[in-house]
Amino acid sequence: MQLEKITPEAFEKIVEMVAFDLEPQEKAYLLEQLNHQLQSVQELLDIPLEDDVDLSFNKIPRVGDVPRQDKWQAFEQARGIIERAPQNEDGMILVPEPASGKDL
Amino acid sequence: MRYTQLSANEIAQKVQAGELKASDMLDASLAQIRAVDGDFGSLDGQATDPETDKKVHAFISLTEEMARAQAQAVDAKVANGEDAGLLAGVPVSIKDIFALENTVTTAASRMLHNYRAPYTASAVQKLMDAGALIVGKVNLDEFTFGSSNESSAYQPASNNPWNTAHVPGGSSGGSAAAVAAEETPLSLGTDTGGSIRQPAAFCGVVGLKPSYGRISRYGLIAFASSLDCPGPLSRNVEDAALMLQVMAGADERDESSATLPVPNYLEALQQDVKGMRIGLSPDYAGIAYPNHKTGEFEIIPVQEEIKQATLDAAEQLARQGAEIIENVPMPHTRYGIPVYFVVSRIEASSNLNRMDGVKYGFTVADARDLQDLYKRTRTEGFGPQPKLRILMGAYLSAASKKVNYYQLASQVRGMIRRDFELAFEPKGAYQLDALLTPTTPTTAFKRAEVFGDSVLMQYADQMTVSVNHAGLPAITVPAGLDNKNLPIGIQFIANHFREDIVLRAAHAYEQSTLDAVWRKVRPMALQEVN
Repeated sequence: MQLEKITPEAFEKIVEMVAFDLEPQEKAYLLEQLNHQLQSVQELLDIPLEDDVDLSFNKIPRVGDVPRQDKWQAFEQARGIIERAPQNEDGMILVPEPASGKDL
Repeated sequence: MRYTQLSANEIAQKVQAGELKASDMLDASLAQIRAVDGDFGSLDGQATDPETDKKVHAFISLTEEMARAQAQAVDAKVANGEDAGLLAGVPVSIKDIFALENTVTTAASRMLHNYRAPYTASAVQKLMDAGALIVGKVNLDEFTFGSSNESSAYQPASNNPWNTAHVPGGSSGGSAAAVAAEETPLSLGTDTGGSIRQPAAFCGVVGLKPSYGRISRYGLIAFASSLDCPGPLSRNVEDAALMLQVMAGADERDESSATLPVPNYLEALQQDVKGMRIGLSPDYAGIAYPNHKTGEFEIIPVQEEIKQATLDAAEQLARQGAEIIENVPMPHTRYGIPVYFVVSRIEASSNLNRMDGVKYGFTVADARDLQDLYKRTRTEGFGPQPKLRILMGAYLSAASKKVNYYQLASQVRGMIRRDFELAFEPKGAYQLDALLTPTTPTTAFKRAEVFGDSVLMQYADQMTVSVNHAGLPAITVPAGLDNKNLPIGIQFIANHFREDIVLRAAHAYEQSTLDAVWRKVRPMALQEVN
């Protein structure tokens, strides 16, 4: 199977999806680099896969192999987290109104 | 000998014995930073020093006040006859990707230039609890995305202390440079595809990537969550063991941290390598790199001096009683980078979605609406390399309707892991304790030589990245200098949670080369000031 190059049209859709607004020069550089990277990814499509491999990401042994209990704990700095939002008021994060009729 | 040339273990012992005050050690470290570092990285990147090209530029910020308070606390404990900790009075620098309460934690990005962390990363907290002095935050590739430090939004980026026209590697380049330039004997870095080991090799220091889960990731700004590992950089193997000892262990705040008991790594260093089975693999003799002009894959051999240093190390270890097993097949090593292009990009793209100008860090003023806020914040806040990773991750995720790239890459990742399982299998054909490889295909390249070519830059990690896919421990240790006086690193890899084995092998090699001529050569950045 041959991996298709990313076309300028497809690239525009991804740029919109990840919420970027790029200058033409930056677009040209990023599209070129993405297509170079895809050449490397192509190798994965060309190799014979072994079906019996374990897909788990990492093996993390545990004593007794029991995950810890999920217990809620209050975070001491909860207020501090809100206060680090660029715009906040009375323990709430402030954001501008969404543009009407646009999907977020 | 100057205080800054002492090892971390020597410092801690002298401080604990009352022979050296932690506050004097801190002064020495700060004086060395002033002498060699030059301008710290900043967003405006304005150089004020006419000699700026000859400086190291490891740091983004100092935490002098905090370090001063820590030094006073250590000195008070010693004066009271109390145990001041395994790292009593040892200056440590922190890659600026770890949260440190009430200090700015930038990830070397405009996106977080004003973010003051509300809590401290577990690994950093453990260092402080052991008596370390946190002197400051060091530079890195933006959000750790790079292998040269050049992508940092905080310029000037770090230089290689051995030759400041060359890069220190990355992404933990500031850490490696700070340790090599004797600014701090220890630095805390992270390794997602080789980001501790590659810069450590480029800068002639020791870098240890522990097993995934050995050290908590709590408080580490995530790049690729299934690969990220905090770990030590130091000037000798004993110090790497010491720092690992302090940071290793379970953390209830990170469910992916292992609950296995932590062995005594310093004791492991006392054992020799007699009977240890150490493998060499032809699959680490070169890198398979896709030439985008021809569309063909080229095999680029490892730099001859690095290959020779690896073989010399095998001989040294054989003389000490290790058994060298040649021709160990690791056939899926060449797929490490393609797998990384998929796994790390998809995970990075997901992790960076949270940077939207609403919750923390940078935001644009006068946004018309919420969509405008997101778009302008992300466009202005991220540099080219994070943008590239986000776009690649988003494309591969979206394209997965046709081919499930993440699953495909995970399957090949499993095949990479199986190569190691077969090599380390106790009843298998090879029964290895450790694999010995070059750490990098070349020594440190010149600034601007590779930067901008995101594929070639990524392939600098081909010797290291498979270890991250498999979640294994690996260490790089200095093994000589090339004909340009640039450091060479060799790597030992062992089975899961066998950090003791890589430390033991690296220590045995290090001890056998203590009198080597190349060990007498000092980094260029130190020759004028010391």
